[in-house]
Amino acid sequence: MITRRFALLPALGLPLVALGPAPWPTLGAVLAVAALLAGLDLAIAGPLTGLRLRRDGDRTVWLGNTARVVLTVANTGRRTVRLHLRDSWVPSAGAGPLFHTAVLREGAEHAFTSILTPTRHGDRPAVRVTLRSAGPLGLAYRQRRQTWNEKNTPAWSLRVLPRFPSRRILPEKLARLRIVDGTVVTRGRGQGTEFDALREYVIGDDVRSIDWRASARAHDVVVRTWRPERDRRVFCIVDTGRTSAVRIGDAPRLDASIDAALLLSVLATRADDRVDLLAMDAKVRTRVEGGGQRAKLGRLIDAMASLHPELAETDFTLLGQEMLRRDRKRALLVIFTALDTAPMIAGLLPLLPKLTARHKVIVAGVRDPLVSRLANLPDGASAADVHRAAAAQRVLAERDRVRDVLAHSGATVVDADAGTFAGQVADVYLLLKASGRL
Amino acid sequence: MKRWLRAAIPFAALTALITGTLIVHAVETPDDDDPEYLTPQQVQQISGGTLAERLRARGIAVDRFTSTEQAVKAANSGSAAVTLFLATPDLADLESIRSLPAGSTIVAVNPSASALRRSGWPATVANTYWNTGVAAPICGDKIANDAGPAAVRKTEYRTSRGSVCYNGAVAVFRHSWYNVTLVGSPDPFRDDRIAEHGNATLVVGLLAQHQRVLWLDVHERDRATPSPTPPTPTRTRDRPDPDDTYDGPLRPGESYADDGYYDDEASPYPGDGEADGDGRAEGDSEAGGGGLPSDPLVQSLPPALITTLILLALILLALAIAAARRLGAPVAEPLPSKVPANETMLGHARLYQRARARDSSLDILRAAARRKLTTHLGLAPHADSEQIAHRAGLPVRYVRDILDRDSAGSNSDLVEAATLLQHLVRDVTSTPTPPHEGEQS
Repeated sequence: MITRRFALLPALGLPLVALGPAPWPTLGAVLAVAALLAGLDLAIAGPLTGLRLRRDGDRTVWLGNTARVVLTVANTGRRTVRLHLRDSWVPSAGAGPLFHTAVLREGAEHAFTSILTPTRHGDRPAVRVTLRSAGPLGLAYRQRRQTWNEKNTPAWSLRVLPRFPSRRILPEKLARLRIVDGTVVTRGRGQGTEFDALREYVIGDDVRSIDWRASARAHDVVVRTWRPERDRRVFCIVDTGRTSAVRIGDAPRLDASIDAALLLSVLATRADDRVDLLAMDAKVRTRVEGGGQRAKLGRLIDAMASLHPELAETDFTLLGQEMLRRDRKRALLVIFTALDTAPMIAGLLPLLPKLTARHKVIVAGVRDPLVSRLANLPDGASAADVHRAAAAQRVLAERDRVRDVLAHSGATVVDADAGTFAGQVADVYLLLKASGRL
Repeated sequence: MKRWLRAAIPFAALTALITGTLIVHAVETPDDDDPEYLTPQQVQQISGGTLAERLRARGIAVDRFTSTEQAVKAANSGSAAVTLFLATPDLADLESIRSLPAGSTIVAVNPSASALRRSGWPATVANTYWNTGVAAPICGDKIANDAGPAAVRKTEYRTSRGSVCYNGAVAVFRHSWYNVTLVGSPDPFRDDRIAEHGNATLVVGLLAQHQRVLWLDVHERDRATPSPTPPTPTRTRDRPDPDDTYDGPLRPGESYADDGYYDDEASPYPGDGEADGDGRAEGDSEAGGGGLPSDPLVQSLPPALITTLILLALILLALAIAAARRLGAPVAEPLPSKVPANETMLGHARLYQRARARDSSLDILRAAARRKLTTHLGLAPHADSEQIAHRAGLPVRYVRDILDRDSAGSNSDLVEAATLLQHLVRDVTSTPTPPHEGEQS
């Protein structure tokens, strides 16, 4: 195949053809010389079959950070390869630079570094490395078919972990957890419902905590101390259906759900509770259950990274099948979904009484801050502002009704703006933890 | 300096030099279609006025004609032999000069190979030089020997039937019933060079062979009007054929494009070859083999223009081919949804506005305000305005005006009512909840 530089050859011969005495023979001669030089250049160009590719570098990165992946090309052939290379990733990987150039002599290798700044979480694969070997004159090159290039591309995928903006409030929530847990002594041993230890009675202790049997054995007044429950089960259920695809601000609703689920998972793991994950829409997308608690958080983050919205209606009967199994122990179900009227009434509501009979259920839906803002009239409002305020109030009224219906069915509802959503879900968890209602 | 630049600069300089030279040469070479070119009417650089004056000084009548047909008609008006001076043989209608009086002389200035083929003269171009050079006669011709060295050597001719002088720059031969003299350069005829060397003696001697010179001064294509029927071969003319050597416009097997040149004057009629029947058709097909269609419009273009256009097209084609092969195709992936969560809400708002549903909007706002007020004041959801006013400590009429007012008649009424509603809710909810009846204060 020829390059743009090849066109320069006939262009150089243009004056000869236009102004020379014999146009036709000159035209033939110019074309023959150009074709000869291009053919010679192509013959000298190094073969692509002698090139070997491998990759190295980052495998995971948090969304918003930058990763580096190195592609090394080794020339095992006998001839020098003037290499032009395109390292193609999916566009959302934010890879750059895409094009590289190098001269590889026999036995030499060269490392090309791609800097990746992903724009979406999930797996961002390297799709294809396209190789081109140019001739020394730059008139012609060798390049093979796309399928050949794909076959020789070393597989690599960058796992982009979801954005975790509520990380900034994690220390505050952990501090509150420690207070509940009693590790930070502010009110003595933490309050809870699970027996912790016996100690001598001191003035001020609740007399209802006196253990009379132990007091008889010890010949002293002994009280029981309590601690919050441990080893409880927390099930994060993430709705990845169509309602999770809509954008709240600049991000899909699912991102806010994942952020809140991550915060809850970190808190619950620190509180020695068991955290499991179930992501579903028309079918179950991801399930993380069992396994060691220490490695669980990493598995949860990894699983959440691969979640993306599906344009399908969520089938809550799947949730019923999963959670109402005979062997399923009581757990805290935190359902991250949208508090839209139709899906709630038709999907979740018929199932909710059964779920609340066996589990503690929290239904958490993130709200668009714009709705709350538009519900209030601005200064110097116009008729359009009034109509917008009416539409916003209508939405808020519907959400209130949904919230009331869900609460009436026994669920705790968290309905908050995107900025405070994760924190409010964590607060509800801490409240339940502190009051021993998990 | 980059390595490729070091290699490219000499080539670029050489190309520029060659191009510049070619352009200067093309500009300096006089064109046949220039009205001043070898015209007897003017005495200027490239004109032939000086030659005409010298001929008249020798008693030779010089008659100027601007079409071949007129010149031939004038020659045939008398029986005496004449000299036909073809200053621009490439533009002249060589088909019609065959009816000249017997014994006439034709002097053609630098005819091209295509003109020679078209005329059917037994001569071919042997060599072409970049510029006109001076040559010695080296032949037995009296006129040439009288003139001595002259600046005639630009095109050299070869003839099988006559003699050549100046190494072929002047060819003299007899064809049919007239004599033909080919001069390889226009320089000896030009006013600015006629005085050099033996130019004047040579050209005056060539044109003074008869008492009358018919000066054909054409500067645009001089062709007979095409007719639907092919012209009758000149062989059928009544004229005698003294040496019986004439064999038509082309000899069998001759081609219009033997040397690869485009013969732009070869055939004005699409059916020429068939009419000839003995070689013209073959010649046409060979011309087609040189890459030329038989379209008269295309044939009217100069070969250099056609080759330049072809080369330009090939350059563009090469650029297109080079651009067509990408270094890897773009990668596609499904895009995330761009639908905002509040799209339906804003759609509702626009519908209210377009339908001027002021009452509906106000009802929604009043219901929302009532809900907030009753919740804040601890009243039942269906509490009326009077109860709200009592609990909030506001005048009943004031609260009733806001919550139960008539429908808004205009947009300004709507805005006013909505603003009052918002102020009422804000005023009430900003104060602490008043104690319920029976509660301790």
